[in-house]
Amino acid sequence: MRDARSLANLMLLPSGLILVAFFLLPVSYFFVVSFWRVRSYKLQADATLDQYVEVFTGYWVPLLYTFAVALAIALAVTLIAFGFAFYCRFRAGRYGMPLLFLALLTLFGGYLTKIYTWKTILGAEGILNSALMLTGLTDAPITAFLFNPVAVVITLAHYTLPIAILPIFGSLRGIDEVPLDAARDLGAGPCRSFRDVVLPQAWPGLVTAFALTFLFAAGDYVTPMLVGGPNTSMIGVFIQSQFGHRVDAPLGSAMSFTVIALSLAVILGFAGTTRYFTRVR
Amino acid sequence: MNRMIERMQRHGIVKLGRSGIVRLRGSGGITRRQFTKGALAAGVATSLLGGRSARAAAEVKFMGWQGYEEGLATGDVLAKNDISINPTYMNDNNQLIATATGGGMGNMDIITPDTSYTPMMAGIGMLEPLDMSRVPNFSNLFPEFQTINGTSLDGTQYSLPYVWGSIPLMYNPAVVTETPTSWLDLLKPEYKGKVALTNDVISVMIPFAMAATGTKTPTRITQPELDATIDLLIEIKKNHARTIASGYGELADLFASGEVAIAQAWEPVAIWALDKGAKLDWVVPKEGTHTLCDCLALVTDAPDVDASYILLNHGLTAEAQAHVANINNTGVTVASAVPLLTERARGIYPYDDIPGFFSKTGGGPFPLWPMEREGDIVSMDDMLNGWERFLKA
Amino acid sequence: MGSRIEMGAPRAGRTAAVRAASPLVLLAGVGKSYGAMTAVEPLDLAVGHGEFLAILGPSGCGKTTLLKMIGGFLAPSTGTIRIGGADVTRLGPERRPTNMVFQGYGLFPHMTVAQNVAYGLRLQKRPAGEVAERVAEALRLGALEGFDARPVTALSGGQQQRVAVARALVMRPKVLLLDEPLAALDLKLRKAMQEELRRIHRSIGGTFIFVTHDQEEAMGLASRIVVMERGCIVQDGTPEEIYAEPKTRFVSGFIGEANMLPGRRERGLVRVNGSLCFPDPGPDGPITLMLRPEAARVATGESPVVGIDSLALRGQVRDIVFLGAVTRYAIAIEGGTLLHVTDSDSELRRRLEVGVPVTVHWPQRSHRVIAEA
Repeated sequence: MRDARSLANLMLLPSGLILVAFFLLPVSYFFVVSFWRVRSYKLQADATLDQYVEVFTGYWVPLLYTFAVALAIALAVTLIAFGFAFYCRFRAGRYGMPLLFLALLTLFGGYLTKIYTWKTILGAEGILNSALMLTGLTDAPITAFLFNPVAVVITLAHYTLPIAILPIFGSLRGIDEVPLDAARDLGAGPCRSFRDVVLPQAWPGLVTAFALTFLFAAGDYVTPMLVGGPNTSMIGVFIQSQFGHRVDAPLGSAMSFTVIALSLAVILGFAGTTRYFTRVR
Repeated sequence: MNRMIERMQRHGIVKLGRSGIVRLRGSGGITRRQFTKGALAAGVATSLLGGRSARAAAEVKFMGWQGYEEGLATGDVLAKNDISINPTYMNDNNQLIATATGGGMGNMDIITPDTSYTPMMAGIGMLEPLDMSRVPNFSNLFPEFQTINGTSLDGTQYSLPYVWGSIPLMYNPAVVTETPTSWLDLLKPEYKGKVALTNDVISVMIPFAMAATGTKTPTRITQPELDATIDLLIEIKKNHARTIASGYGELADLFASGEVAIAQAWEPVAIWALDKGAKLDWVVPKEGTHTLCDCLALVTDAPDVDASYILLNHGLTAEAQAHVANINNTGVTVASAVPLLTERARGIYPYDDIPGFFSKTGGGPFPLWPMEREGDIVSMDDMLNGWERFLKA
Repeated sequence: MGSRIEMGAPRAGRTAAVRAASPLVLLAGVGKSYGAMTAVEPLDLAVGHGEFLAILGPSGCGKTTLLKMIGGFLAPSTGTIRIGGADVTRLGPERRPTNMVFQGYGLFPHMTVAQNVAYGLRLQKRPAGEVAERVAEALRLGALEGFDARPVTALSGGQQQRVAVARALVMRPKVLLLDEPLAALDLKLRKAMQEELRRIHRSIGGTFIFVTHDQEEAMGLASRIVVMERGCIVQDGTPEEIYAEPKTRFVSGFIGEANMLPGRRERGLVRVNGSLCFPDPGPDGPITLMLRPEAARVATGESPVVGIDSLALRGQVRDIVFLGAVTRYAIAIEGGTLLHVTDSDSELRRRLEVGVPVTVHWPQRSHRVIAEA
């Protein structure tokens, strides 16, 4: 027994080492650095919160904007992904798995490709405007489709949707159908059995989907750059700029850890709120 | 060594990304496929010949913009001298510094820095002073490029002008019917929502500093001048711009899809847009603009100096120059290359009056912003702070 | 002949009386088909108050479909279902006075035992005091005191089963439906749970309808068994009736062990296996003689003593299997057919060994002659 356990530990060692060497150490390093400062382009060890103060005073607008966009995307995507996964699991019968496969198929195709596809669809000479003009609904292209936050939400939502469908479908697949019948048998209508039986069991999948989508959206800045128009600078742009142009690792680190901490708070907030609404009453 | 790294950190702070995230030649529609084909062919050749090419007498390790190495391989120069080229592609000038100082010296031969970076790179010792007696083709250069700013430090030549271009005001004449003359024409109400800028820091900051303040030395400005520049950019972004393009490839798409009618651009954008069906015109606004010139340079402790000199010299032949310009829609620095250009490539740049063109842009390539504040003159870091203010607004 | 009637008559008579008086569940012409495939042929069935009815049949016979129609989970294609006099044909399960114990139980895995049991009452918005009281009562009935706060996933199969029963019974259904309630349990637990279910049925006096493919379970639990085959009810009666008087070869083969000997009846005379011939009134045609293994006896010696009304076949012992209480003998009769006979006589076992010639004999009233359709 002891031998088996120590053997198992031994087998975990390589992955543990990789985790420590390539994840924990660098992250801890940048965490420490976030309390340092840069003086004439040189890192100086320190223990100051100045960088964090700077993040909140100097960058609260992009920070707020980033979180608003990411929240909108994560909520929309989680909802749509749930609807789709639910349909695949409980309504589509034998077409469920093919449908799911089709959705996951969209994971192929690069990230940039998808962004450009949406530009093509939403643009002034894009498919949407051409269709509207062809049907005579409008006589000039509507420019409001592209280069605004809504376009960012649409594009990122499309990109993250399959990623969100997977964990939700996973949790839905684990739901036995018999308890659903049992709930009806005990007097629950479709809505009640959905709320009392399906939702609580789908909860872990929902939170995972929300977290994945939210983190992806909050960390992305390429999509806003390409479809968001002039006034959509996500915090990622500034983080990249601190490490790239500015050689200001302390400020960049402080931004990163602020984003991480706030993201964690948002995800926990989502988890807590949804838990409250799906709790057993 | 520590001192050098420190200096590198101090200096290696600018990203001259004409490309942004999408490196341009891909958007030009020519090369990604060509490149793949070429790489494939090279691989096949290597295996067929039992690695004979790899065992060529000399292998020159090249790091530069994708496509630039093709000029060095034109004609029979490689075969005749038994040289092979091993290329790596760069994304911005900082990458050259990071690679060279991070163990690259002694393992790299030729790089393609921008003129404004050459003095800095020479200053930190990552460039080999050039033995000009081994580059006889230097005399082929247009006189303006023989004396261009930024290729030498303290009288010693460190780099060879190879490719050039500028940042003009580009527009779609179908929409912009009145030929613009000033960067401030972007503010005209009739172009509202059809304007674009790129996120190419230097190529935006230089022309708009000139436009906002009238300065002739856009990289030597005071804080109030910097503020005025940023205020102008914010005004354009907030009230006039459709978007900020992430690169020139994207800008060409924006022109072609009709999203944008007037923008700060780079000459090849017009060619790419033409390939996508949009005919564009461009002007150098009266305030002037940024001129860019990419060079060939030799890295300190280059392992294959002799072969490298052969290629450096070859890069200044008409044949090499014309090839690079024809595939990249960039400018040639050698007069004898002009007749070899395709009609299209020849039409882009004013080869008949380069001095006149430089006087219009404001005097050719400008140096970088100073690394530290010099009295009232803002530093590179101040400029980047301003740029962030622009992004945040 | 007479004893057979005596055995079944009182129960059968009482059941019939109950049915006539006020059937609690009344199915009239209820059938279910999916396109061209018929799961349940239109059938009639009446279940009286207090009955413990087993619907027995092999998988695919339509028994679960029938139960689901009674519970409201499937809408019948034809016919009407009445429960307590009210037509519930079009009502969903949530609006029927039935509750079900599902195959695999269908417990809510994210809830505790008490939450599971209380769920239906909560939906009815019963006062908290009443809910607590009835849940406690149901848990007591299911011998689940002290398990209230346990998550159901932490329970054993038998405990989960009792939670499922408690969850259904707490609703005080007019009819409790059980779908293969014991199928997932191991043999020992199954026996215990059978007792448990009988105890519960006795103590609340409710009406239980359960579906099973296990004839032993049906015999052990039910007061009445409905045997189904290919969507039809083939026999309906007390366990004793069904065991002793299977109406078809299928029923006799399905209920308990049976020896089947093919034969013919001509002008009231039945011939089986060449040598055996006895009078048995009925229509001419092929028949099957069904003989339970425990109904026959084995005798040794040249001229064994058999009863006056007994029948006998000669054979040879082929196999002897000691089963504890009884021993089973496989005996090859003339023509090579194997007959199985069980006997508890240890003296006999000592005398017999493989290869010994024997005579198998049985009183005429203990076999059944089933006319083949």
